[in-house]
Amino acid sequence: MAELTMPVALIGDGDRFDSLTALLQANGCDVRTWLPTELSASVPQGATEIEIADLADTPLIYLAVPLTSLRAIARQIGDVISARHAVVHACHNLEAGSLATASQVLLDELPTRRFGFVTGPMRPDDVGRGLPASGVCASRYPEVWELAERSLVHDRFRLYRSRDLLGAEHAAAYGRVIAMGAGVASQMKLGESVQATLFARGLAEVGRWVSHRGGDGQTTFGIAGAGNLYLDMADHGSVDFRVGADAMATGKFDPVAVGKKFGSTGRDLLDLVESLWAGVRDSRVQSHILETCHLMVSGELDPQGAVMHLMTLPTLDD
Amino acid sequence: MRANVAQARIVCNRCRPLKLRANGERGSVPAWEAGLCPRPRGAVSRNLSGTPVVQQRGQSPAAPRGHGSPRPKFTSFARPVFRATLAAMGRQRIRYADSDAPLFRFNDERPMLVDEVSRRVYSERLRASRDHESAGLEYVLNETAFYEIQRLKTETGPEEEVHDIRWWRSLARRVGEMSEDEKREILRDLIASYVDDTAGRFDPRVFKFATGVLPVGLGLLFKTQDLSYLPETLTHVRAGLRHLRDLSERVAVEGETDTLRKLHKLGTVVVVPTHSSNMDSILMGWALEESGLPPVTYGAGKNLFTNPLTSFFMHNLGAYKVDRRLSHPLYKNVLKSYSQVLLERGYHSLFFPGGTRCRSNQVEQSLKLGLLGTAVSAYVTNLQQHNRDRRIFIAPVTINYNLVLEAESLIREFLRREGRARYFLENDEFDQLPTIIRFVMNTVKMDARTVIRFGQPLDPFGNVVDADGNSYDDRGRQIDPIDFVRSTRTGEVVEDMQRDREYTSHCGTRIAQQFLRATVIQPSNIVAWALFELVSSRFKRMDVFQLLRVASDEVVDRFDLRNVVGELVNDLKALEDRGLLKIASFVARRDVDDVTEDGLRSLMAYHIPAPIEHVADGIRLDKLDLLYFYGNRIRSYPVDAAVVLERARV
Repeated sequence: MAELTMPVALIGDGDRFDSLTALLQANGCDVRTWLPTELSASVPQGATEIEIADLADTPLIYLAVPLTSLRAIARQIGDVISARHAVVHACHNLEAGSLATASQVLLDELPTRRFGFVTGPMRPDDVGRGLPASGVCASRYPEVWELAERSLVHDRFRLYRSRDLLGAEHAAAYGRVIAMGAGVASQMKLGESVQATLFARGLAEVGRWVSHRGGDGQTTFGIAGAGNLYLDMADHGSVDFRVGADAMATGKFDPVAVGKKFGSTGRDLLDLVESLWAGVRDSRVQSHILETCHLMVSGELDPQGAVMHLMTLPTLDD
Repeated sequence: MRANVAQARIVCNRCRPLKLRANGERGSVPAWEAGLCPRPRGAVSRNLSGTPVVQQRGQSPAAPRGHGSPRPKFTSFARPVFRATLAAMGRQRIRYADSDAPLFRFNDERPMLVDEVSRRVYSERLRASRDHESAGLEYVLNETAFYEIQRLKTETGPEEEVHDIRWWRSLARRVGEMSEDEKREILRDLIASYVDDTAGRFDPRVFKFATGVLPVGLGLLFKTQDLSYLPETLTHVRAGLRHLRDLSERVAVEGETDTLRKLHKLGTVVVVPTHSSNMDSILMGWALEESGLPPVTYGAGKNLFTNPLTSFFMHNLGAYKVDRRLSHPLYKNVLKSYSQVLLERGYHSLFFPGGTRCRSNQVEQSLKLGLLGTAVSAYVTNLQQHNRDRRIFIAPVTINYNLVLEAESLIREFLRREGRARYFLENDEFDQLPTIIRFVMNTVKMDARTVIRFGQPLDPFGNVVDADGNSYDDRGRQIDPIDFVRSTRTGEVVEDMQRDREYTSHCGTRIAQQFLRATVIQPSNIVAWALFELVSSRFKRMDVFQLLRVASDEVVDRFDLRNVVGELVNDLKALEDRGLLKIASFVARRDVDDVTEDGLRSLMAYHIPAPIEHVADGIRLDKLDLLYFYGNRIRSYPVDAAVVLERARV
């Protein structure tokens, strides 16, 4: 794949922003950053800061912003870009209430339709150190795949393609809730068997949800679902995993405490649990792990009760 | 105009020339413009510089009368008086300057169009066969033969076939041994046959005749109360026919017609109506003419070309044949290419994106995108090959009948299909003249009108378009549609089939939204919904199919019905305030008793036996399936039946 000769815009902050920065720079891209006032981000080393109007001249834009800020930021960007632009986001969240994915929010706010979602097991530490990693670019537009490949792929990073944008977005978001449950179980020292069970049954649950929302259930078992979840549960775990573990240690899910300790990612996770539960409750999709997480977050069950709740479910098909 | 006429030689382009010399001036104007003879249908007004002019209010001596004006008594006045009376009562009617329409050059261009489409399809197939082994010509021919043999084994319709089954069998046997040249020759001939069979014809004389006859025919269909005023002498016959042409009392055309009148001059218009009756294409033809819009070419089912009621017009009014029995890719390729070439060359077109008549009567939301996709392809091809930014505009339209001619067979088929029983509708009400006559004779009692409503025009990418042809995104920002087809990387206009499929899919979603917003809820829909839900509430655990089996002959209390209609209308008005639908003006301006009464009368007007019947203790429901059909229009919207019934205290 030939190198990308045009500049690439990168907007956002957080882990995924750091990963994308490392990948783009490792691939020799001319990275340009606009700093929205909604974020307390800084310009990464090696990148050039630009004004929002300059985004008109960068037809490929990566967005690694929290979903809570996405709509406002996208609306500003929409004033300067055209239908020619491709916008690739890295958002693992759903809009509270509407359960809209990031690409659906972008569709509302931007003149372009060429969206992509880049996700996968690519920890900033690993990518920064040049360790092999992989991701997936989900898009309905072949040109978006091509641009993502040209800008990200190098000999230490492999990028897969997926047409199931919606499925990938839902799988990545729902997987965070499973990771949180795994964090609780880990802190309870319940052993690796429970982790494996949560991983397998969690994915089955995510798959049902993805299908219910119009995605392809199989997407769950690819990079966007299984890949992300495995990484979230590995080693010390992701922020979502640690939110669960911390709540277990302190005995409750306190949004204020979670916000202080884990920032917007932690707060978003608790909102995501409640939003997803509200969506699932009316849908008849079997989702016992999500239900249990909801009961813990809402304070209706303590972690011990949650374990009991899951272990005493009627026999289900695997 | 008068001053010009005084200086001009006045020629009647229908009657003999009127020998009025005007001060040596060489220019001439039609005598009807001078008010000296009746304006012939389809005649083009031109000013002295020769520019066609759109006829405006009061220009025509025979301008039709307006809404709600008193009905003229034909028995007591002579023709000029009648004409003058109509002119005085004249409602604004803007006619399209007919000969400007691209369709008028169709016959001249037909051979070229057929050649172009044949060449493109052939080249595409040839290219594909070179690129992919599995697309080799023997596979294309064998696949086509396979589909055709399977079809012809079971079908012996009256329609002409391109080749009979023996020919296809012979092809299937020989194709493996043919030389490449032979295969190419057969493929070329086959494509040419399909294209020639598909391409329609346009006869301006038939068009003029049709635009004269159509309003009268439709007038008879929709305005038969005027039969009581049928004239007694030849003079009065003429006057009566002219009067019948004014369908506006029975059929209203609403919505974005002003915008479309401007847009068709700026680009190519693709009209995409909802589809629930075989009368739709006829009615749309009238509605376009009534709105001052040019005639369009459109794909019509091959059955309409064999139907004795419609075939003559179908063969001569620019319609092209769509044979839905042919399912092989080669034929679909021909259809799409034909549609694309027409759009590239500026022929205004009409597709029914629902593909076929809507069986359930719900507002169509599942649209077929094949032909719609040709709008993006045509736009891209024009930009790439001709460097021509000729815009294409999509005009969603809803056709809202108070009663549907084919309602019974449509809902039967829907229910059987939903019940997973196979059923093929071979003969429906549109093929039965007595049924049409009954429809005509019985619908005269209705106050509500059929409403044709033009929604917000879109570009092929699903963006709304204003009257100047500018596109806007969802946030109201003006955008350039060319950017949609530019490469992100290079900025050049490029072809990308997957990208364009996504745009078409998005456009389809937007059309479906426009269908919902432009749907006009009629009294029959409201009353049918109320009656069905009232009965349904008595059998809470039953689904529709169980209900249909057990709940006929149920009697509904009139008071309950009135209350539910009242509450439902309130909900519908709230939805209308949010821009989610339209309710018929009759419903909006009348009280609940009038709406209930008109809805009941409508439901009893045409169907035999009637779906409902007045009995001593209320209204007996005899045909729940028809009530379900008419009420389904409302089931397309977020109306909670339990809440409505609860508020009505039923």
